[in-house]
Amino acid sequence: MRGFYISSITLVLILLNLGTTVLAQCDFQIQSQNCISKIKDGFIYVKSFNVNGQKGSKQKIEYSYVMTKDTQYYLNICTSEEDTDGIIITIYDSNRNPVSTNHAENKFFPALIFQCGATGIYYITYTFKNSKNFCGGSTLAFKK
Amino acid sequence: MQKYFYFILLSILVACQSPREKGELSLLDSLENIEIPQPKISDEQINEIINQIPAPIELSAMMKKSGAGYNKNYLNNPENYSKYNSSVEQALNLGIFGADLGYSNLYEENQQSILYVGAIKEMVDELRISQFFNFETIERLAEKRDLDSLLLLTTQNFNDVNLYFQEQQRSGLSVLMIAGGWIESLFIANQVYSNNQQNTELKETIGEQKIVLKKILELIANYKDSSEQFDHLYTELMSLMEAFNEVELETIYGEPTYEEVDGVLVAKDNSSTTVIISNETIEKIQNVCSGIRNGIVS
Repeated sequence: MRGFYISSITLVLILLNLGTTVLAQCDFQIQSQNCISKIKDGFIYVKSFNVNGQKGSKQKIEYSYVMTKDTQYYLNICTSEEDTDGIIITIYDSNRNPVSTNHAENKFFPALIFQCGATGIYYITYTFKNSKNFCGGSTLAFKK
Repeated sequence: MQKYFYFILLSILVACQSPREKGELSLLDSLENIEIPQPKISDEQINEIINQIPAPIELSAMMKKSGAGYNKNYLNNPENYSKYNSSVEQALNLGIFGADLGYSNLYEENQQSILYVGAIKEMVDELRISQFFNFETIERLAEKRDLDSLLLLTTQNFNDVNLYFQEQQRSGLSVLMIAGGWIESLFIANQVYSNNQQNTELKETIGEQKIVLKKILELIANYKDSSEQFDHLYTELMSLMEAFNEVELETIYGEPTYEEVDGVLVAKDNSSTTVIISNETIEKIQNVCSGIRNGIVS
């Protein structure tokens, strides 16, 4: 009987631990929904990006997208913190030249607008600078 | 005592399972019946290329901005849904109906939008992915002419389906959906251009689709050896690429300039693209594209 209680307590502790682990995970869906609600008026939503730095073990997350000239692209970042939590968005063109960022003069902007001048593949990267959670959601929208 | 404990434990575990997880199990079983070949490269690489393909709504927005009016004759007939029996036909035409819905939504043609919602419902029922679409809300938003919410919800629903297919290693269906959507948006752009050949911006945009076609071919190439239908689509799109090969694209890089506007960092890209496309080439693109598209919808 004693053995049964010990195994029961162990199981309950395992379940509780499982719960806290799940809670500590990077919930990209919540952050991207948050970001969708912040899209600037006039822009049309295209897609969401998962920014999960896996607690710092991943220092760079990259996506790519064909952008079209004479189109404005809006990209924002949302985190569980009040600010961008040190997440830097950088857009590079197909030759890896940087063409846009949300980080300038030591300031982190929650959103950027990229006025695309040349159609082609662009790389959207997320890196971390003194980030606490290494976790966020990001959305891409466009305006013609 | 022990029996009760394990019963309670089992109840907790069952209760902790989210509704979506339960739905996924039955969907997984049903997806086993849909034969979609596996790609040669990794799913991760396939998904990366899928994410590069621009949404069809971007081309529609460009056409609307150019002043072109709405024309339902450019679109697939929503009643055609009953013609599509195989999963390949259904996935391709789901992409086509999705592009038609986006185009109709953008022009606030709510009655047409509702017809396309109906056609999409039939397609997703057949593909057993209806749980990703909130049809009641979509129809209500179309009736209320709530354009922003309508565009957002339909795009999100299609993104969810893509993500689901990718997670389930069924990216082949995503590839077909994306190919269908792109073919339809190129077909509409061609029709619009045919009626307004002074629109050089649209002509150039059509020429720039060479970049997107290259990516779609990269995707389909991975499935063509394992499926006759994929192989047929690949051959057809290769003939379209032959026409596009005559388009010349040149990009000149220019350093971006930045300014802060209302708390947003705005980057003006000073790069530029030159598109060289002759009238003969665009005519060839139009003809080949029409043949492929009409073959898919008929």
